[in-house]
Amino acid sequence: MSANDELGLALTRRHFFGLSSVGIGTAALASLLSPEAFGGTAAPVSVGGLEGLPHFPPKARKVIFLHQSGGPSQIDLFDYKPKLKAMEGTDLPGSVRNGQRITGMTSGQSSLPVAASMFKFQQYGQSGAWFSELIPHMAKVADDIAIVKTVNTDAINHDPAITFLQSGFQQPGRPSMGAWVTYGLGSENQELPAFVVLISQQSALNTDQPLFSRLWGSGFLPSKYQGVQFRSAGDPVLYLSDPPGIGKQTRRDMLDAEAALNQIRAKAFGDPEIETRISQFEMAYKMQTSVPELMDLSKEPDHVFEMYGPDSRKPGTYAANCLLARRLVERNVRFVQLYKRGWDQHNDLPRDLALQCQSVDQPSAALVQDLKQRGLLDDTMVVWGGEFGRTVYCQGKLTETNYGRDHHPRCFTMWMAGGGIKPGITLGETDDYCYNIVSDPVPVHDLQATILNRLGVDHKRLTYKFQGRHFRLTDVAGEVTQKLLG
Amino acid sequence: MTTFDAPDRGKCTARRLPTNTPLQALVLMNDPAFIEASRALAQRMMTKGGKSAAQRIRYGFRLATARWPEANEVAILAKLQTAEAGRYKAHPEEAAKLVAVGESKPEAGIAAGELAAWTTVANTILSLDETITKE
Repeated sequence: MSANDELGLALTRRHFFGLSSVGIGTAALASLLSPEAFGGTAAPVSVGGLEGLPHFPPKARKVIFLHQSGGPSQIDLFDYKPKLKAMEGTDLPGSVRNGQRITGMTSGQSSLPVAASMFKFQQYGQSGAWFSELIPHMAKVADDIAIVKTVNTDAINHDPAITFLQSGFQQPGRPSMGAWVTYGLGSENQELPAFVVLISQQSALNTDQPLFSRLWGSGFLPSKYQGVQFRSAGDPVLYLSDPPGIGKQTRRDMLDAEAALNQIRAKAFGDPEIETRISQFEMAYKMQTSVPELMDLSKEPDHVFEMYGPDSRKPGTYAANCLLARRLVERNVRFVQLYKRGWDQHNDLPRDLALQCQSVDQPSAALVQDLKQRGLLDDTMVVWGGEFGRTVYCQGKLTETNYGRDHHPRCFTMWMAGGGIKPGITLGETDDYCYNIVSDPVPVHDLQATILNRLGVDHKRLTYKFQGRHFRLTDVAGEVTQKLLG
Repeated sequence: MTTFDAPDRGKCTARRLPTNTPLQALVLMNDPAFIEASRALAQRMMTKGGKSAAQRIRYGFRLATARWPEANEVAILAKLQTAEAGRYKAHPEEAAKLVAVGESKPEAGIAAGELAAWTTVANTILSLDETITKE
């Protein structure tokens, strides 16, 4: 085979359509129809998505995924189990556990004593959803959110579970949800990355689990679909300013020369990663202007900071990141993946969970309220939850005032809001031990299928061929959870 | 290096996933250390590359990419060099600022305007996909 034939093969059909959909025609159309050209009133135009997507009219155009890393205790927050008080300290019946593997952290315990939640629960809103006293602010948005008590996962440890939740597979290497979404749907803002990652500063608690960039990676998709991480301390993006002595025209000349040189190599080798390199330099150039504008909070009124809480004035906190997430979707950024760590309460749960909720409760609720007030909640979906839940049985010594909980994959609670998700409902029932699901299970792949559905994407038809097989976010599973659709 | 997703050495990394973000582009464009490195390469190109612009470009390009540039590649960089040399001649204060970036001092006896223009050329060479990517 000649070198020319090989080049022809390197340019696969998908690359061809991928390239053509971001080609000159689309770019020209986008600039004609750009919202700026219409004084900010026209609907934003998406550039860079696949032909034929969305598959059907979308309800949501943007997603904010508030990932609560570590595994929030559903029993102490959302899933009220009054009967546990009477069973406090009794061993979890084998018929309930039913041989399920448990982690090495509790498998050596001589008993698995039931620990009822120490916290008071109350019903809120028209929907009458239950919330514990730890999350009074979230309780106030009860009628705007759908609470799902029956999310379940296959993994029992953090890394496989978080990898599974974000990429549909427990082992690393698959594209993350944000990468799939931007690959399929493209970007509605050509001045900012389509997929932004915000990691909130570490909490004072010593329960933070590590996060790796592969969690927002593009896997086998072209690398331009990976999430762009903003820093949580100091400047969110480094090196935005041109060096002293490099003026705007010099910068432009340098970028043009570099693009011309890279283009020669891209043509010679047909490597789409070189095209990506060119477009990432252009994006960097645009971010030199767009990021300072994004980060300039001087025009945010005081009442907004008050809504998100005092932490919202401290850059890098969860509260500040929630406000930043709103500013990102306001600018039509497609997918915001926001992490808050510190939910891994193996011991001292009553003390540590309360502390954790103090920093998470108010900003989470404020984000929903803020989006709603601005009319952004209609087409922005907010998802709140961790990679698994926590066990009903106590890890460590159970006392009257203290307990800990291990990882629990069989049922845990998440909530969703906006973007075509039915508001004011609670979906699914768990048993009296909060151990197994009684009705309406929502496996992680169903959750992913449902998120894609609201974005106008059929999860079975958003695929990418790699190593001889078509891959998708939901692997070979996933059903849209119809009861969540509003 | 975290911007370039260097492994943290916590465990063995058999194969690194490719990454390619605008944040990496910003480092290459604006990190003072990278600008200083560009200036150092520019000095080398000027003092060791030869007399003509084309010779210097060929020398610097080969140092960075391990191959000689084609004529059309040399032409692109030569055009950049001419444009920036003119601009820095008109604005010597800007040239002085650029060559002062970093901890090392610019080599004595090299005109700041010339050095600044060659620094932009060197930075462009060092930022090429071919320079920073192992295929």
